[in-house]
This record gives sequence, structure tokens and C-alpha cells, in this order.
Amino acid sequence: MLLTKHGSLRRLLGAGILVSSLTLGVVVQAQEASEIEEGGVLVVVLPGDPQGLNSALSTDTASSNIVGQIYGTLVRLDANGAVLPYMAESWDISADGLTYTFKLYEGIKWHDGEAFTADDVAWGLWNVNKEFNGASAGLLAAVESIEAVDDLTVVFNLSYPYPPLLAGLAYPNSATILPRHIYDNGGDPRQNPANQAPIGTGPFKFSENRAGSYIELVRNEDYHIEGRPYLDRLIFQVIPNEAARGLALERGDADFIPYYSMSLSEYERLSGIEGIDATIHKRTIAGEYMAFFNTRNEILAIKEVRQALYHAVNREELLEKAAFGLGKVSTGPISSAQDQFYTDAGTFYDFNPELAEQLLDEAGFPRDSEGKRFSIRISYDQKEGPMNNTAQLIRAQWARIGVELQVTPMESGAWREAVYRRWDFDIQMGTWATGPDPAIGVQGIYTCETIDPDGGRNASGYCNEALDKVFFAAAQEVDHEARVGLYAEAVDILTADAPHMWLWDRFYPVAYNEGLVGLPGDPSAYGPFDNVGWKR
Amino acid sequence: MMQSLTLRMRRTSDLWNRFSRRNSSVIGLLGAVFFLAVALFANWLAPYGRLEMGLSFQPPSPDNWLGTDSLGSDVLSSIIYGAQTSLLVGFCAVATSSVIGVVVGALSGYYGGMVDNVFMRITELFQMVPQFFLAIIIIALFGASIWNVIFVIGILTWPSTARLLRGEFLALKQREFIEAGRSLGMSDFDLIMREILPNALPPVIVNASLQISGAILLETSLSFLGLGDPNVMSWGMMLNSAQEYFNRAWWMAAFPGLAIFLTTLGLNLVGDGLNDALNPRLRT
Amino acid sequence: MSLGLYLIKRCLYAVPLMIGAIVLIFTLVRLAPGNPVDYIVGEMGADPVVVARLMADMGLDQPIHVQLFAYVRQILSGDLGYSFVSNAPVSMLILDRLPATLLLMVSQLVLSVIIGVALGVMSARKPGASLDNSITVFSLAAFAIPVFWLGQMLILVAGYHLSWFPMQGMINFRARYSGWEYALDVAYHMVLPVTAMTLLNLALIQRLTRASMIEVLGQDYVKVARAKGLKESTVLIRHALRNALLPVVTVIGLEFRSLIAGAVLTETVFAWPGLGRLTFDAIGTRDYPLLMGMFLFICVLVIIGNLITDILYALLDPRIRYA
Repeated sequence: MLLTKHGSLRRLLGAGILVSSLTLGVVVQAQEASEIEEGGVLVVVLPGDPQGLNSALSTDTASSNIVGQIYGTLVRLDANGAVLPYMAESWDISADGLTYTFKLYEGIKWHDGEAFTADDVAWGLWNVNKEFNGASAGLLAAVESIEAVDDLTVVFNLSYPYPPLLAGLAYPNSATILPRHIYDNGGDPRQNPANQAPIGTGPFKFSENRAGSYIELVRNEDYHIEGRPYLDRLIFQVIPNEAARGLALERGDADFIPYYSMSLSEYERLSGIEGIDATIHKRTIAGEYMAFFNTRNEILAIKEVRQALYHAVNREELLEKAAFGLGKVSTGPISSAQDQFYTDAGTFYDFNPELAEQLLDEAGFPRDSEGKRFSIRISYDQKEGPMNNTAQLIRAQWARIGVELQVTPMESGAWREAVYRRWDFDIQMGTWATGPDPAIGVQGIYTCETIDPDGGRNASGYCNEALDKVFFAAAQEVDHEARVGLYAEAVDILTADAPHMWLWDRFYPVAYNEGLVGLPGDPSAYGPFDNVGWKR
Repeated sequence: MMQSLTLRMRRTSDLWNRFSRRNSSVIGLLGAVFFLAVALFANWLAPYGRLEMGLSFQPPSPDNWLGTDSLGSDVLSSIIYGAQTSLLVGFCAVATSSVIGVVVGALSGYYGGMVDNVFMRITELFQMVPQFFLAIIIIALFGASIWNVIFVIGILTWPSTARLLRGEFLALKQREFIEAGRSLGMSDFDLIMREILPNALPPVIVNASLQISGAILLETSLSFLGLGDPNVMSWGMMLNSAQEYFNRAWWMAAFPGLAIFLTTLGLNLVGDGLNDALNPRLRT
Repeated sequence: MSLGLYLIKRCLYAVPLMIGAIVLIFTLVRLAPGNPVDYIVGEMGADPVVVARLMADMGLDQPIHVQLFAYVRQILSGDLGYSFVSNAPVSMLILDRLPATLLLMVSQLVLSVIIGVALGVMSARKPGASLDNSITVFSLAAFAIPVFWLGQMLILVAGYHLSWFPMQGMINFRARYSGWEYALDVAYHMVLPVTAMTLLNLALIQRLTRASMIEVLGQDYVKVARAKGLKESTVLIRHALRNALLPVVTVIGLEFRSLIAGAVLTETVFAWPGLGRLTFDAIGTRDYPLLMGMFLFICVLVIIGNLITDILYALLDPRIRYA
């Protein structure tokens, strides 16, 4: 059964490690259990108020983290991205990959005492998540129907095989299971009062939300996993100022700074402080900072200009001053965090202003009497931490080769509209996930078919049929080695054409009180903190 | 009549005497002139270029008198370039607001009746609306270019000018010399521009001088909230980025704030002095 | 006309202003680039069908004037709508944050009036004396300090280096205080933000009080009171101050708007969980219903502030007739 369970996933993730890590995880947890104290309080730092307390509706990381404590999902991930049982005890995937059958644990109760059944899963995912949540709609795109066969069995019927579905069902931001008895009342789920006082099945119950200040959760005594959670109270505290977040940890006012609250500038200082553990999490979806050239712009349509600009960016300096060294200079469109597919082959654009000037001269953009060649804009979402400094640095670096850069930070919504819908930008930058598989993270921002103002992600408008062929072949290839080869080919084509500047592969630093154990390993899937506790 | 303003002009020395009666006004003027000079000669005064960057987070030293920021820019140079932005915003925004205020105030006061009614309702609307909120919203929605900032400050601060001028017009249009002009067949435009306006200007000038520091402070506050133009150096923006590093680079916050403080103080003192010198009856 | 009737008239007078404000803000927000659906959908993009349905659900596919009328009708029925982002009722979000802001504003207003008036009276007793001069220099300086910088410096010195006061937030939630302890804890957290805001406002009040006291002290009835041999403190407080406060009250009423602006900046610096931060976050997420609800709410606050000024004015000066 294990073979069918993971058969198709293995094809994509190339993972022989799945089975072993699963057993390993259990052993580690068992060892720690005797050393963990019952009870205690954990204070987690938030950068601002979460969007809401219903992840079936909102997708931001902070809300997912909180909601993941209150609500449950069918499965969960371990630190290596392997799928573990959570509310589903076991599952079976049909040989053709079109039918997923989940067996739920018996005796799970909602926080208000009602019994949790397969009907909750089928109704909620179909009527709320898929309807109102973009990420969910994508995850469930292949799903034709979800049926509750009996109280403890739920079946997903797919119209085509979609291996990422199983792991996707572990993410609270798309697969949170809502209580049907509360949401199925004929009203709009977005206006349900339970969005402010959620009732879930997770290890912690919602207690209080003091907007702008903190959110308090308390231990769920009826949690379906014996002896969990350890903690009595879980507090998410809002600290908008970055420096103050580090100080709160240092002074013992807070215990855990997740990556989405981490101030990059504080990381080095915090890692030197006794009693604090500061580490870099590996994130399976592998974020990479990159800048898209708008190839519709007549200057940027010229390949040599793009190459010249890329050569004129000192990425070491960006990494040092904007990201405080927390990353690795990118070599191409696949992040180095994706071991199985990463390659440092392809064209590498070292910092070489002389070459850049020469390329620009040859491309027909000589300096004018004032030493200026041309002027272009760079836009980004102003809330994306290091981008402000990155833009200022690139502006200074390009000024030296006679290119004037106008910096236009934008509010998130306006930025998305300008970049994805209206294509009104010259260069735009931010962070994109290139994982967990290149078929999901990489392909979608470079192929011709994704040049689409209604939801397409290829904002640069770069279209190369040869590249498309490689990507499509790779997505359908069953043999892992062959896939690796195909993606290396794609990397070759892309780095030569440089429709993007790949800036740096992002690291995900976290810091916490060293007395804590059991924090989830992969910060992108902040699952339940039921194994988290204080050392005895 | 033009002559009344010329009369005032001829009394420049008189004006200076009244202005300089208070030491504080003179000190303020010196400060304002210093600030103006720094802004005008920024390119010569600044020890480093606009886009020159060295080591980050250097404390004040002989190389960087006021230290360097998170990108390695020299704080002193940034403050000097920032003076240009503040000056530009201060003067252009006040010019915008004065033009709107003068037009609305003059038409309102001169014609009265329906025109006055409509204009005054609009003025009241703008006076009631929380300015700063509106400024935040407009800049956030329409983008933070320096011209947007100037425009927004301009269109939010004109009501006081309009009301002042309307009051002056109401008082002046009753005078005999206006009646005389009208009976001579002068057009409304000529009456407004040549007869009434020159006489009504002094309080507007005082008001404008006080508004400059207000405009500078408003720009600083907006850029402190992250709503400044990232393509120009601004004191508010310097303070904004300093926030995140207060525990490692105090100089990033201390010096730009000091620059705002001294400039505002100087301009306020000048405004006070002008107030005393130009129209003693408006003293508060 | 009675005071009650006068106040009702003032309230009615505010109605067209409110409608003007609604139209103004609605038009601005809708003309701006950006679309809330993109925000909700998120970085991954979404099916065009889902996007279109979300737009239709929010009424964003209707012509602007239809949306405006729908909005006005909704406001008139007392419903400020639901936040696009957090899905919570707008009125709830606002009322949640209101106490924190009011606490800060009322405390600093009371403090700055008490201290400002006291300083104003002190300096008006002997204008030009050294006490007057030093108070004047102090308040001129305080008046020119940007409130957010003052806040930063207080955090740096009194919070970070000296560790006397908490630097951020409103309560120590970990301690779970209740009753008196809770109140004390909040007061402790209030020290720095209230200091920053008070310093700014007391300067204004000091200058106004001083100017109007000097004027009042020169009036005949004060001279008469002195001639009658009344105690100096009685003359100053009972006779002069009462009349001198009128312009002070007016200006505080007029400056109510900037008090709120100061609150936004102060709340941002000190991470105070009030309306100011709420607005700023709402702008970042283009949360239309919340932004507009906030804006209307603050307009109402300003109108209420003006009404309070009117009442105070009436109480201080019984000669006023409401014509």
C-alpha cells in the first residue's frame, strides 16, 4: 500500500527518502516526549495583524500559521516535506492517480463538541475553500468531486492525475477543513461570525483576539492526538517594528520569531546571544528574489541590453546590504534549495560594469552629453522587505553605467494589477517560489501560454517555443534523470536570453528561545504546534 | 490701488525695524537663510555624491561626520540633499495652495451670493475632512512621486488662505475707491486684480510663510510613513528607515530629526516676525 | 434659541458635509489604480472565472454611480460593510481599536491642557520676564519637533538605553494582569507615547493661553477686580482665565483633525494598537470598505469634537446667544 500511496508523488519529487523520514520522524518525537514539560506558554511574534482567522478564505502566511493551530488539515508534512497522517489516518491513491481515498481518525471533535465527519471535509473544501480562495481553487482544479462515503471515509475524484494534491492538502492556506454545522447556514461564509471566533479541530482553541495587539489560543483538551499539545497557551503577539522584535526575544518577552516576522538585520546579532537559537530553515517551495524585464519595452526587448543590465548589478552587494547575507547569489531560474533540479550551469552574469558599458554601446545606447544612456522604471510591492534597499542599490549601481533607474514602490494590490493585468512596468521584482517542483514553480512564469492578463504569471512577456517544448516534455517525463536533464536545458536557454535577472536564493531565518523543542521544520507549511513544548 | 502696496514697499526699512524688534525673528531668519543656502548649494556642500555608497552602519567619524546608513550612504550628505526636497515641497506646495486659495477667496468675496455660498461649502468640506488621512489615502492610492506629494499638500491646505482673502475682500469691496473704479467702467477682472487684491495680500503672505513649515512637516510625516518619493532623498524617509535599526545606529534617527526640528523652528520664527511686522492686528 | 436646538441645528448642518465627504472619498478610492480582487487572490494567480465571480460578489463590475448609491444606502442603514481582507464587519474593526486611541488622545489632551494653560498663565503674569522668556523658548522648540522623531528619541533613550519604560505596545499580555494591575500596566506603557504627544500640543496651548491672558489682563474688569483688592490668584483664575480660555477652546476644536493625525504617527512609532495603525494597514491592503468606514468615522469624530467645543464655549461664556 505504501507503494501506491506514494507512487505518483515519487515520480515528481524523486523521493526515496519519504518512507525513511516518516519512520525517523516518529522516533525523534518519541525520544523527545519524555523531556518535554507539560504546559507552559509560547509567544510567537507577528509583524502585523493577520488578514483573518479563516485560512479557507485568506492566504497570507501569518494567518495560515495561526489558523493551522486552530483548524486541522487531512495530512501534515514533516521537516523534509514528507506527508504524514493528521486528521486522516491513512489514504490510498488509485493506480491511475484519479481516486484518492482518505480514512479519517475516529472520535475527532470540533471545539464546540460536535463530531467531526467526512461530510465536513467534502462540504467545506468544495463549497468554501474552492469557491473563495485562489490557492485552493488551483490545488483542487483537477478534482471533479469530493464525496463523503461514510462518516470516516472521504473520496476525491480527479479528472486528470495531479500528484501535488496530496502534499497540498497539508497547507492550511488552501486546505483548512471548516465545520459544516457552522458554515452551511445559507449565508456568505466570508461574513460568518466564526471567522472572528473560529471553531476548529486543531490542538489549540481560539480564546481572544485583541486586534493590533495579540491573539491568544488555549490548549484543546479533547485533541485527537493523545498527550498533545504540551503547551497551555499560545500567544501571537503583534510587533510592527523590526528591531523591537529582536529585542523582545532577547529580553524574554517573546519566544519564537518565525521567518515571516524575522528582521534580516537582526539575525546575526540574535545568533550571537546566549539562550537564543537562530537558524536558517530550509523551505521546500524555495523562494528566489528575481527581477522581471518587461520584454514588451522596446529597449528591454533587446537581449544584449538585458544582459548588460544584468552584468551591471552587483548581486554580492545586494545580498550583503539588502538581505544581510541571508541568501545565496542565484545562478538561474531554479533555486539552489531544490537539490534535485538545481544546476549552476548556464550563463552566469558576474558583476562587470565595463562589459555592461561595452554591450550597451554596441546595442546602440551610447552615453549622451550628460553621460546618460536611458531611463527605466523598477516597480515592486513596497511590503516586500528587502526590495526597497535592493532598488536603491541597483539605482546607484546602474547610475555608474549611465542608466537612470526610477524607483516606484507600489502598494500590493496596485503592484499586482500593474504587473500582471496591465503589464505596465519596465522592470518589476519580488520573491517567487521556484519549488517544490519546477513544473509548479518555474514553468508557469516563462511559457508562452501564461502570458495572460487574467491570472497568467508570465509578466515579462517572454515567449520562446523551443523553451516551451522543453518545459512540457519535462513536466510529463516519468524518469527523474531525464527530467533533470530537461530542466538543465531550460536553464541554459533562459540564462542565455535573460528575460529575468535572478538575484539571490532566499534563506528563511528563524530565531527562538533555546528552551523550545518540536518547532515544525518547514516554515512554509507551519502546521500544528502540537509537538512544541519547553524542555524540562 | 497699487499705490498702497508700493507705499508698504517703500517702507521696507520700517518693515525691517518691526521685524527685527525680536531677536528670535532674526535668529529664525538666519536659520532659514542657512537652510536655503544648504539646499541651493547642496551639490557643492555635500561631501559625497547622491548615489555613492560605502560601508553600512558606520558610526560618526572623520570620514562620515554623521555616520552612514544601512546602505552605506553618508548621513550628512543625505541630510544636505534632503534639504532640497523639503525646500521644493515647502515652496511649491504653498504656491499651489496659495493660488487655489487666492482664486477661491477672491471670487467668493467679490461676487458673494451663490458663488460665495458654493465656494464656502466646498471650503468647509475641506476644512472638516481629516487632511492628513486624506493625504495618506491619496498618496497611497495614486503613488508617491514628489509632484503628487506637492499637489496633495497644495489642495489640502488652501482653505485657510481662501477664508482669509475672502474676509479681506468683503471688507475692501465696500470702500469708496472700488465704487469709484466701478463707476469709471473698470471690468470685474481689473477691479479684482488691480484694485482689491494688492491691498488684501499682506495677511496672505504671512499665512503662506507659516504654511511653508507646515508643508515641510507634512511631507516629512508622509515619507516617515513610507509614502515619500523613493527617487529623492527626504528627511522623513531617513527617519523611516532609521526606525528598524534604532538599536544599532542611533545616528540614523538623531540627525535627520534634528535637521527637521531646526528648519521648522527657523521658519516658524520668521513667520512670527513677519506677522508682527506686516499685520499687527492678526497677532495671536 | 436653546442650546439643545442650536446643537441640533449644528448636527443637521453637518449632514451635507458628510455626504460631500462620502462622495469625495468614494470617487478617489475608485479612481485609483489597483483592484482588491488581486490582493485576495494572492501571489499564485487564479482562475479567471473565480476572479470574475469575486468581482461580481463585491459589486465591482457595476458602474461607479451604482456602486456609490449602493454604498450611501448601506451607510444610511447603519452598515459600514465587511472588510475585504479580514472579512470582519468594518464597524467591529473600528470599535475594537477605538478605546486604545481614545485613551491616548484623551490622556494627552487633558495633560497638555492642564500643563499648557498653567504655563501660559505663568508666562502671562509678567510678559518679557525671564520666566516668560524661558517658557516661550521651550514651547517654540516643542512646537517645531516632529512628533514621530520625538517618539523615536524617547524610545532610544528612555526605552532602549535606560530601560525605564516599555518601548512598544499597550500591555504586557504574558503577565495576564487584571484589575488594578492591568490599569497600571497600561499606564506604564502609555508614558512614552503620551509624553511625545503632550509636548507637541502643550506648546500650542501655552502660546494661545499666554496671548489671550495678556489681552484679558489689560481689560477694565480685571483692573476693577484688582482695585477691589481681590487676591491675585482669584483675579487670575476666576476673572481672567475664564475669559482667556475661549480662544483656546476654539483652537483645540479646530485642531481636532491634527490631533488625530498626530495619533496616527505616534501609534506607528509606538506600535499602539489604535485606529491610526488600523488605517495605515488598511491602506497597504487596499481594503476599500475599511478605508471608507475609517474615513467616515473620523469625519464623525471631528464633528463631535466641534460640537464639544461649542458646548464648552457655551459653558465658559454664558453671554453667547445662539442666533
